[in-house]
Amino acid sequence: MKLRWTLMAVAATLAVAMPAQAQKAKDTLIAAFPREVKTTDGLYSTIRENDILGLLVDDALYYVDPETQQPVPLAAQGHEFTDDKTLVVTLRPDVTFHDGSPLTAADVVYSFRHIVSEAGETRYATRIGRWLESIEAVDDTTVQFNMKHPYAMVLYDLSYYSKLRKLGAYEVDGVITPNAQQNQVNGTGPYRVVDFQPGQRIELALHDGYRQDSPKAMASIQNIVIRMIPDFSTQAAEVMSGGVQWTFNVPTDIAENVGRTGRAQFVAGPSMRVGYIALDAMGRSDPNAPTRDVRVRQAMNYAINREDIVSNITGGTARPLWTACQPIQFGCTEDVRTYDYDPEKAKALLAEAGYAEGFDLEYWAARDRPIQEAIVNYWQAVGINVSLRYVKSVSKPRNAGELTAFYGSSGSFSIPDAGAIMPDRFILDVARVYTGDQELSDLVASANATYDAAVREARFHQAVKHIAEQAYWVPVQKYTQNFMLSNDLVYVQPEDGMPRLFMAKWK
Amino acid sequence: MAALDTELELVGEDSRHALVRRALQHKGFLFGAAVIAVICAMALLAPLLAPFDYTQQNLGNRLAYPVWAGGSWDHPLGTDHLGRDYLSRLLFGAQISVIVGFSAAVIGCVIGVSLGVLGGFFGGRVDHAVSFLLSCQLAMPTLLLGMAMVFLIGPSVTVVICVIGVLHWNLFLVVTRAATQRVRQLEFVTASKALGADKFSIIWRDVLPNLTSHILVIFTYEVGKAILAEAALSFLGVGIPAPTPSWGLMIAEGKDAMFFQPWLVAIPGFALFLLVIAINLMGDGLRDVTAPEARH
Amino acid sequence: MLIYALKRGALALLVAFTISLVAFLLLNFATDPASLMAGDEADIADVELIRKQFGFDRPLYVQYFSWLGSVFQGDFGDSLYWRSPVVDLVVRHFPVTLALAGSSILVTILVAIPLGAAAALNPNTLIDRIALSLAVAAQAVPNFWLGVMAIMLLAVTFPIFPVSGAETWWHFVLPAFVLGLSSVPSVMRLTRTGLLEVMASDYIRTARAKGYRGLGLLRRHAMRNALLPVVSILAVQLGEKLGGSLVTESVFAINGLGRLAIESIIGGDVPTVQMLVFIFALTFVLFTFLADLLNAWLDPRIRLG
Repeated sequence: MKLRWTLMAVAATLAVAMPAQAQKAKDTLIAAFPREVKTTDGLYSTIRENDILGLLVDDALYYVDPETQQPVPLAAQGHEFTDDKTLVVTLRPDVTFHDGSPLTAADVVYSFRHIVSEAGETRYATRIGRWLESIEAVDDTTVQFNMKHPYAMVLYDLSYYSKLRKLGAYEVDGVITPNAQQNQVNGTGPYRVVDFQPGQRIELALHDGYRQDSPKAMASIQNIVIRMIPDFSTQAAEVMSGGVQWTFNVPTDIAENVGRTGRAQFVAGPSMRVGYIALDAMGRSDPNAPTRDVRVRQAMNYAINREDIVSNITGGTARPLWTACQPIQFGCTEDVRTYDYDPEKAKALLAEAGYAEGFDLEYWAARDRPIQEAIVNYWQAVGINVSLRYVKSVSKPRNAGELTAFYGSSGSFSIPDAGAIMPDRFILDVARVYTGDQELSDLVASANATYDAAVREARFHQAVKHIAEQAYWVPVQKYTQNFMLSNDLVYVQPEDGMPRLFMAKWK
Repeated sequence: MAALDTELELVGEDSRHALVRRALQHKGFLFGAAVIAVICAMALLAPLLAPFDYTQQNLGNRLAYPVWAGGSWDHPLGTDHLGRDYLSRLLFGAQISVIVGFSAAVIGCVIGVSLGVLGGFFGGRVDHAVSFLLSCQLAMPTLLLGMAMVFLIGPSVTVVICVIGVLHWNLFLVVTRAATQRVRQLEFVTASKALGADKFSIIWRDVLPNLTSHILVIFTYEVGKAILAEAALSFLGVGIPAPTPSWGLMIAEGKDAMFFQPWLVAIPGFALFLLVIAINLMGDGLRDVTAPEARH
Repeated sequence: MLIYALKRGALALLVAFTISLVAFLLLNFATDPASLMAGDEADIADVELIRKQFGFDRPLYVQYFSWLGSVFQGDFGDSLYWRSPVVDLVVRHFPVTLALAGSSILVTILVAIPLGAAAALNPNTLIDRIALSLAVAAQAVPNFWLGVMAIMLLAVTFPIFPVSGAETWWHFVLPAFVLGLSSVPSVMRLTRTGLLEVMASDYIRTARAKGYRGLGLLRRHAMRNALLPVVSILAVQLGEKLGGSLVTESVFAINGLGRLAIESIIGGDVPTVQMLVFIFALTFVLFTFLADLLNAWLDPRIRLG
């Protein structure tokens, strides 16, 4: 007891010496990211951390308004479709890069050509290249996009997937160098990169030349430091002891407990993210993969108790998922075949498929470990001999076609449209697709290739139903999104689930 | 090497009683042996003692409190993040620790002792080669290589045992090599040589039996080290694969809740600490009992 | 002395390269660097192209020697995960690890040597027994568990120290303590044994006869001789810690070489892992070599024999 009091006295003295609220006085917000950011250039990463960073350092042509969830002009002034395959965009005259130079049509043309070029190696080449035939400058402030086919989501694509770079930004000594902007991207957003230590720390400061009538002009905190802390318990400790002020995607258990201590705030926000298990339906990983049999895939669906998982592990606003899209998205429908928890039926289906004795399965996942362990348990309970490979990222073996079952998740860039999630997961030109279903692929592609909302909706509905019937996925859950915030910070999470860190301000 | 000479005098029947008597008077040895006996019994009887199956999850009853923190006797140590009974996992975790520790030390022992005997008995070039292997083993970043190997081969109990065993044998080598060199000089080996016994049988019949107590002491320490190595690997996520309960893995899994359910980390950590300290005390005891002069 | 140094140095280098060969073989048998390098969106043709381009289709021993060749030219290859030269990565992560290793050795010295000395000066007393029990306990406590418990108690319950990171020296206190403690048992035992031996020697008896007592005796006569083996074990421990703090760095989210190693393994970044194994082995043999030289310089019997 005596020791305890002594320690507390020491703690009190030191706490006075090092005030925890110092960050507000320094006007520096410290945010924590769970995954490592490898580059400040959002064109070369698809992780949510880079989306958040991209919204801070890059202004694209359009911006998804958090209220209406519709694209509004950002670096663009406006646009006009001259026909259903030609889009003309006019630029604002007052947009500047962080190095002070103004944004011109030549820069925009250069950026898009770089994005789709093979040598550019950007992560959005496939996505933009699906619809972009060519781009040209009409005059100094006007660009024209020539499209391969009508594309309903083009303005969303101009909001998230296409960052603007200065003419020649990727040329080093005349050679195209994909990582030229890795360390200090020269963007157009409200914050500029001051310092970047890959995988460790990013230091940002307000961009002085940022225009005050931008939809993102509420950015008010002078400096933002982003620290990468992989462990959520460490993040919780930091938030409680004043070392970090903003964290996202925190497991509900931890965030709730932190909130209960009163040493930091727990804020639950909506999320567009869905989690699912993709199964190898075409025998890419192994010609004899049991998952080629639709009955096996259905059995694996029946074996899992989604209700238990979402209410007990994920918690918050999470709900079971039955679809290959987030049901609030346009084009998604919940009128599909569902697989309510029924281990007996699962066993019967497995027996029918000739696997009464079960089979060996390697299951790969890279996030939400407790959920993966629960899933492994459910599958083992119906006789499948599962071993969990919990790794940092499944993307390499996944794209190489080595996996029979893996966990995936998609936040759809927070775009409320099934066209934001389904093409990258069911069109066969993408390396991660394990369906081998050409008809489905064509259907999904055609759904995005028209402006007719009714036709789009009908095609997506058809695709979603087909996927559920074939059980290409084991859809698991709609996510919740938890934040831990220091007590002196105000941050309201927009409805679409995309964190916009520039909206944070001190109390 | 006074130790060895003493021990050679002790091979007779009477000295066995002396050994036992000294062991029974050694407090550290007794404590260590008692704790190890209890933990081994727990591990062996885990299927009988454990109130639940260690994989049986109950998501509706997650993170239940242990008895002393207001929980119920259904789960005396509470439940983990998947609602699995923590006592059952702890008991089966003992099994893993004991199996991994013992088997890895056996592998290390076979490698280290063979090399040590070879080097010490034959000397010359063989000895140079063995010393070189030893230098390499000492300089190897074992945890890093162990992690890499387990990750690339694919984690399983067998893989973890083999990797730890293959990477930990230097002490066996050092001790057996030095001791073999001594034994080789002793008269009875020279006598066997004169009688025309071949080298292998000299090693097998004359050299090895004289090294047993040394090897046993080292073996004990190595079991402790192997248990800690397994826990570290599992803690870093490349050891025993879930849902098999390993104490290191339990600490890693409990870490998310450590500020709010601290026992999830404290219990397996303490169990690990207790087991290893008992093993080390038994090792110290064995050393003192078999070679009292080597104490300081 | 020179010949001795050259002999030991050559052996040390040979050891480091043998280890790198072992690591090379292990890693290359288990993975396909070409498909790793081709990246996420590549198809089979791309992978084949890269295999040819970077020579992954050649026999392993040819690949090893070409790797060795570029190492001698200071080219350690590119990290697959970070897409930047491995040398840059190592240079970036090294200072933190150096600071951590240095401060943890400092902790070891500050704890182990006074404790060992106190135990040796009061053999078979309570102090001696406490010191030995501490050593036994420190040897058995799992490093990562101690780190987690330290954060829990001293950074959150009582927010005295920062939780994670490596921004100021204050950040290093807890991790240095946790890492340093693991070397305490061996260093303390060695100090104690060394001092006990020296205290029993003739010249200490002479010094005692001259009237030296307690600390004066310790400082002037006993310590210097007893510490010779301690210094060399400290050098070895430092060499080990420069590459071995995987667990501590992971617990305290310190972004040094240890965490780089973990991330590289889990990220399947074979060239980086291979390089780190080589660098860690090299650091270790270098420090052992220095310790050997130090010993030889202080003890002519080794130097001449």
